[in-house]
Amino acid sequence: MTSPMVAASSRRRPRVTRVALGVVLVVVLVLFPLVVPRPDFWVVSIGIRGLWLGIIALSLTWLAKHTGLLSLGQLTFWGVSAYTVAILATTYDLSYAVAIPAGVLLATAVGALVGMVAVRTQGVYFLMVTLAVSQLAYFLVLNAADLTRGHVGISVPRPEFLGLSLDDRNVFYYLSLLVAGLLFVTCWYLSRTPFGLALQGIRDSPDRMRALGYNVYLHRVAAFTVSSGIAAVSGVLALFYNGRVTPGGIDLMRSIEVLIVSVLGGIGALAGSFLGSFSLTTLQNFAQEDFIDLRRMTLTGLVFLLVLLFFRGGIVDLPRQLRVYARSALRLPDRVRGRHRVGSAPPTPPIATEPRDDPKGSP
Amino acid sequence: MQQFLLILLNGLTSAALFFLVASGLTLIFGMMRVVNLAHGGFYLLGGYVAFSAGRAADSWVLGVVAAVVAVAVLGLAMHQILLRWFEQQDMRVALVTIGVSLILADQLLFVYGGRAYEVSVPDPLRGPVDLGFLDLVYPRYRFLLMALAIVVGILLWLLITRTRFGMIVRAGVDDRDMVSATGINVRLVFAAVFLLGAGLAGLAGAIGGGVFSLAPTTDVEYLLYALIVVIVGGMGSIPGAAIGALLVGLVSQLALGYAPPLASILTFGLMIVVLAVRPQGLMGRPA
Repeated sequence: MTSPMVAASSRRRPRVTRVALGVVLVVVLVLFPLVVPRPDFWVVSIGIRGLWLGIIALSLTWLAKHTGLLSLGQLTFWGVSAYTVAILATTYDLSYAVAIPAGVLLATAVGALVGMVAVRTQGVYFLMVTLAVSQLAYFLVLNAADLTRGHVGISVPRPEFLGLSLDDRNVFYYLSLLVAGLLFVTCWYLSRTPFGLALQGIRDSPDRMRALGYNVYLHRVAAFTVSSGIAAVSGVLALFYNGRVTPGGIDLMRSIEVLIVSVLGGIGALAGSFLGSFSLTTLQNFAQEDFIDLRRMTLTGLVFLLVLLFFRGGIVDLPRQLRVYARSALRLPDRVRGRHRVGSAPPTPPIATEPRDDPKGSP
Repeated sequence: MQQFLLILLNGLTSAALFFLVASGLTLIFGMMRVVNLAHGGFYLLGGYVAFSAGRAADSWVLGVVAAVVAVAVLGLAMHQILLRWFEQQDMRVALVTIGVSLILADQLLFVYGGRAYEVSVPDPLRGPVDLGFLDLVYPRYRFLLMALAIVVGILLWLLITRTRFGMIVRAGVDDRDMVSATGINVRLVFAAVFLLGAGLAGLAGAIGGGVFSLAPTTDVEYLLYALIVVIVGGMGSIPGAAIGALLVGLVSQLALGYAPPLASILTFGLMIVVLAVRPQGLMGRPA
């Protein structure tokens, strides 16, 4: 029983086309800051923000794609690392060379702890538990004002290294791009390791994998830990992007936004996280600039609903979905006569799934 | 001692309100496996409608009725227009309700702004009650809230266990297809359950808005407490929601009284302990 998600993505386009697409994308991303007009807007508000948002969405997409677990709690680890780095660098005056690894490691460790509890649940339960965890983090940060300065948050200077400063927007952009690229390749590679394959097996049929001797629980905890580590890296980038970290950065709206980015881009392929982050950032910026006469969150919600209702594979699945719609539109007269339901969408990859074992089928 | 009793009463007030919110959530989940993450938004909408309609009609009762009806109709519309098409895909449905909650919260923020509102309660319902010992005085409205929660709880319990409708709902929880096969219009039952569940959220908002203020983050707060209550009590169980609400209400208020910085940690800690020991919740059945 292979997953329809994976099957769909590898069947869709020949390898050459995909490689060519990838090369074009990399070239565009590298040249991006050099060619766009109004770099303050495009490079900073869209480029860098899209990259760190894409990285945290990547952590969610990777987890969802390989384990079927859809999390609302990724910002928890993003927040832990951002706050740790900020506190170590300001209150304790440590250098970034120590603070950044410490922040990422601590956030990953917290991720492992949270994972131990959270992965005991699945599907919507997992969604609710991770939502609760992210809110716990939010209230903790608000309440521990001695350490986190409550609502005000902590401001940090941007680091300098090798004579380069992150205050330079191009330096920041290329660093983010490098980090995003490395994480993306790591995720892609992990999918092909025995570990990644075992995860996908567990996603499709935990009972069979258990029968084969795999420790399902530990695999899920490990996957959750990896994904929290990726989210932690995004937290560090976002800390320097904003120049500070506040509780507002990890409230529920933000958590939902990360989920929307992943779903919008498409859970079926890792690249979806970045497609989603760039699309959503651009869209929201245009809503702010009054090109679209709708409030920002209302627009975000509407786009999210649209994707869920009609384009459930997200942007990565858009060409196939459109082809399906075109085909069914051409066949529309037949279908009406044949009393098929016109409004029902054809089967497409699910967004995220319960384990596919039939509960009634097992004794 | 006096302080302890006051905190206890506050805990019971919170528990009563949490139960009202959570009962609708758990009812909808139990019957349809729909996790309505817009439930907090429904609560807030109920409060605002009760405030506005109550002021316009100059009647608290009309305000509450308007809130229940408005939210119930909105819930029904959401179910019929957005959710009905993929009943079997609980994850997708949950995501759709997130989208709805996002739009609802943003529009409410647009209409009502960032100010905090409180539903004005008529004088006979307000005022203090002297408990007659230890000089304890407690608002009458809060006792009424507790009484309402108990009445709603008993009515729901009777509805589920003693009526034909409840029988169908219980059968639907166990095996929806078989119920449908026996000739019962399951869709109609679903719609009724959604109407009832959303109406309960509206009622909770209208009543709760008289005790605690209504502001833009209120929806998140109550969604969160309702989720913790049903996770602790067991999804889909009304008695579970009652027990969960009592535990969460008492723990959160006692923590607020004696160790304020730990309040949120203890409340979430309760949930995590329950999840670690009994993932299906106290009264829940294994999935």
